[in-house]
Amino acid sequence: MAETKVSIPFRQAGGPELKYAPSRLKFYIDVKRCIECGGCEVACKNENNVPPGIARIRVVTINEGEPGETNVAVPCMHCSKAPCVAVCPVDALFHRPDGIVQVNKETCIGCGYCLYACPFGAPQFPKGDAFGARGVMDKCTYCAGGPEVPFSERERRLYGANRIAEGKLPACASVCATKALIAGDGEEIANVVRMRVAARGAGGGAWGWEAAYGKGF
Amino acid sequence: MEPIVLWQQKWGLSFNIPWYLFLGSLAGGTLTIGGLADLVAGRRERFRHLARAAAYVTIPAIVIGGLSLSFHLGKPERGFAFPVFFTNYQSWLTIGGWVVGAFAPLSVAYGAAWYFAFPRSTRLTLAAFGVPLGLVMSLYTGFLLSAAWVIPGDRWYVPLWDWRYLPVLFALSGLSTGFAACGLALLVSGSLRRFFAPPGSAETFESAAEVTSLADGVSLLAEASWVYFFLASLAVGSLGQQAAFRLLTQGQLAPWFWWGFVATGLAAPLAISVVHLVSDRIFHTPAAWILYAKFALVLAGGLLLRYTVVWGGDLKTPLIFPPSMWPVPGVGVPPVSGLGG
Repeated sequence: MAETKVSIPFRQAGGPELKYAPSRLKFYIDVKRCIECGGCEVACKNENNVPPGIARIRVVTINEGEPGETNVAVPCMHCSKAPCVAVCPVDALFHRPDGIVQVNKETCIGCGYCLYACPFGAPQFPKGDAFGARGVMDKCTYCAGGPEVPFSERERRLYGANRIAEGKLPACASVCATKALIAGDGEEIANVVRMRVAARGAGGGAWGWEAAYGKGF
Repeated sequence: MEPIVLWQQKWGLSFNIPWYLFLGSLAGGTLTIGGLADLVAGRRERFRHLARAAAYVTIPAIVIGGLSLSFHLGKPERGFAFPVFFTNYQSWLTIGGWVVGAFAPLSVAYGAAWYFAFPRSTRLTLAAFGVPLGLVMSLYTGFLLSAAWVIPGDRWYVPLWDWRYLPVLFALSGLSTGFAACGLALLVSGSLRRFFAPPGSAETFESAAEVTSLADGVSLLAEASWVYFFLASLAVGSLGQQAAFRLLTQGQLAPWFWWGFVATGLAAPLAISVVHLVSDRIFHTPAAWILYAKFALVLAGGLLLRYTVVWGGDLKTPLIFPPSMWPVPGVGVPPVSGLGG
């Protein structure tokens, strides 16, 4: 495996022990704001050259045409205690220091176990092999590329863009017109959630937050 | 409504995983049965026939099941090299790789011990290892599914795959289908001997098949009781488990569950057992042919149980939607059916 040289944004923490602790990158999906424009899907596919049939992020509509219709943008949430990481037999899935869950396509065996463990349905399996057989797993990378040399042709081909190493946000979050999908440092995001909760009186619309990151903001 | 779970490659869409779960637990059951029969056989011919039949049935079952498991992988070659690649010992797939990796050579050695007439002590040693390993093999097929259930923080993502019930259910089903497979092999051997062997040699095989049928009946009763406990637990469990109960007993999977598994795999074979016993003991008209139907039904029911359970895994516990956040009419009904496609 190639050496990983990824620059990670650092949090300026107060204590010396946390001074160089990397940010914990998270997603915040606000179901009260999503308008189902599909901009995140297009941006993701465009940025990462996503193979046909694969949706690394997808806007799902619940109760369509009925009272309470809600739209949810569903990427990989990069969970704190990711069940996919726990069940993967070959350790192809792992946490980066900044909390991003990455997949190593060089070691993935394509068993599909992560598919059943993931509460968000994030793992995708392209029918890339001969006779339509299941290939290795593909999922949202948080636009952080993969465990290859950053910006290499190989990383680009296997995993897509590495915007995090460039100091940018994931493409989906950066194009979201209504700020329904926010990405970045977990503490900053938690502040946004708190502000929105306070403004609304109750419920921040933080879909999947508890399942991904545990209780509390 | 659009499905929320975005799956292209569910296990239930191809034959590989259901057949592996069926053949794997069947092979575990047959090796346990064969080993036990061998250990207690002594000079009893019927038990020796049963042990030999079990040894011979185990090999194709585990070979076909293992190949079926391997070729469902996106990269089968990495699966074959599991000692190198499988490094996460938290995962049941890794543990299972080693269980299958130990089970397959042992079952081949045990079959070879019968075929090449190894010394009895060698065969019995293999049998002594085979009995617990067979049980572990059957249990493992259940744990493989159940492990998608509890991680992390005891959340139940796949409520049907309850680790308290599924491994034991698969182990009991492994025993019942194992007895059925052995019984079928004994009946076929007996029938062949009627044509190709000296007169009188077929009767011991048919007699062994009848003993196997009785044991199968007992294991079917145990399996039926366990299914009842499983359903009762689902019916009063969490919202997700109740949804799984409804899916299994009233929903899309109900015909497969009731007709495919309960009627075909449990009720009909038990009814046939009663008919066979009555005809044999009261009217003294033993009908060995009826056992063919019984054993075939048990095997079909066991296979359909695996299909039903794997399909039922499509139901995932919906994420929690507090009413303040998610104004769904009729709170209590999961807003997302979870049946992705």
